[in-house]
Amino acid sequence: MSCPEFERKGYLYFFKELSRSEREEFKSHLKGCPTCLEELERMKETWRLMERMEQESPTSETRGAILRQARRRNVRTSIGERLRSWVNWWEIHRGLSWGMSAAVVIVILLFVLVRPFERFRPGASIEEETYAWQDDFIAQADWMEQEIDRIESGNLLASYYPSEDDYSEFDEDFVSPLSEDLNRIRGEVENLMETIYGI
Amino acid sequence: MDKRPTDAHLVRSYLAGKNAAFEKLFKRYEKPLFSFVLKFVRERQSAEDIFQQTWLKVLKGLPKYEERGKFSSWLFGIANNCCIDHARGKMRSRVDDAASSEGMDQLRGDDLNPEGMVVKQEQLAVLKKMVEQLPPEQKQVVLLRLYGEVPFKEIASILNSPLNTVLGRMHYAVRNLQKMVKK
Repeated sequence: MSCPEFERKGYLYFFKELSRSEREEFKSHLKGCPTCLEELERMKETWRLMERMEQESPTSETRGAILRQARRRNVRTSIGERLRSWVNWWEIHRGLSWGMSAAVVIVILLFVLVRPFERFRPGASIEEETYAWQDDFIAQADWMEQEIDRIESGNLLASYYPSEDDYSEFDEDFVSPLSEDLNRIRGEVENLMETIYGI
Repeated sequence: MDKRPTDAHLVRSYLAGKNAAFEKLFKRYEKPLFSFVLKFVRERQSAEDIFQQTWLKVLKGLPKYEERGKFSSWLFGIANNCCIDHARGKMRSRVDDAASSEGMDQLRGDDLNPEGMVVKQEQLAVLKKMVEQLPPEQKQVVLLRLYGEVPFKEIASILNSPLNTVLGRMHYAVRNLQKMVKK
């Protein structure tokens, strides 16, 4: 004879799979049911014997084949799996991950608030370079204007022009290009100045 | 407090690239799983094949493994399915082979005959043999509980059977074992 309560709850009780209240309930049932108590004792004895049964191992070839396969599979992971592995890493090293995140946030905040490298901003250096070039241009333009004025005042031309007597023999082509050159230089200087001051 | 890494932790470590984690996990379940398979199929060579097949399925499924239940339940559930597939395949081949009728008994479910065993065996050796000879549906429950330490609710889910059916099978298995050991 057996009690139906044992089949329903006895094994769950034995393997500690009952909730606390169910466990208490079955305990009080055991107190009043010698059949269940006896069955539980027999079950304990049988299971103790079964747990002592020797466990078997696979051959080393089988073991080696599985472990090799495991290593190979871990190398051949897809991008998705790799992504997942990063997530897994993150979960495993939760403390370290939070620490790293906090450090990154602090560094970003420092950059935003203190702006330690502001003077190295690319915009700033271009601006500085532009001003340096502008100064150069102005200096050169000033020098060229002075030279032109000096030429126009006749100091330099006098050395080129022949005497009044020989003027008829003077080759016009010789004077004309010089004047054109001067005008062209002047034009260029004016354009340059306009461009520079336009900046 | 148990400081051993949990199964879930080892799975995550392995997926993060640490092969040693898988080796630990494998070592943890190597013997119980192989014993489960061997007692289920009762043939060493088949057990080796099924054992390997189980782990290959586990390796394939690990990236998608979600820690909904115990790892051991998942692992033994896979092994159980592999064993069933093997038994079905074997049954099919035996049905085809009209000349051989002996092995069908193993799968019929009422093969509890202890005859033919060596009379003066040690109690444990008898028990081992008896477990192997249990009807498959009872053996499944006993082995999953014994080697996989799979809770009955999870066994019910693995076997796709109601909890009461699983408990009933356990009950009859234990009864059968007790009777056979007494003899």
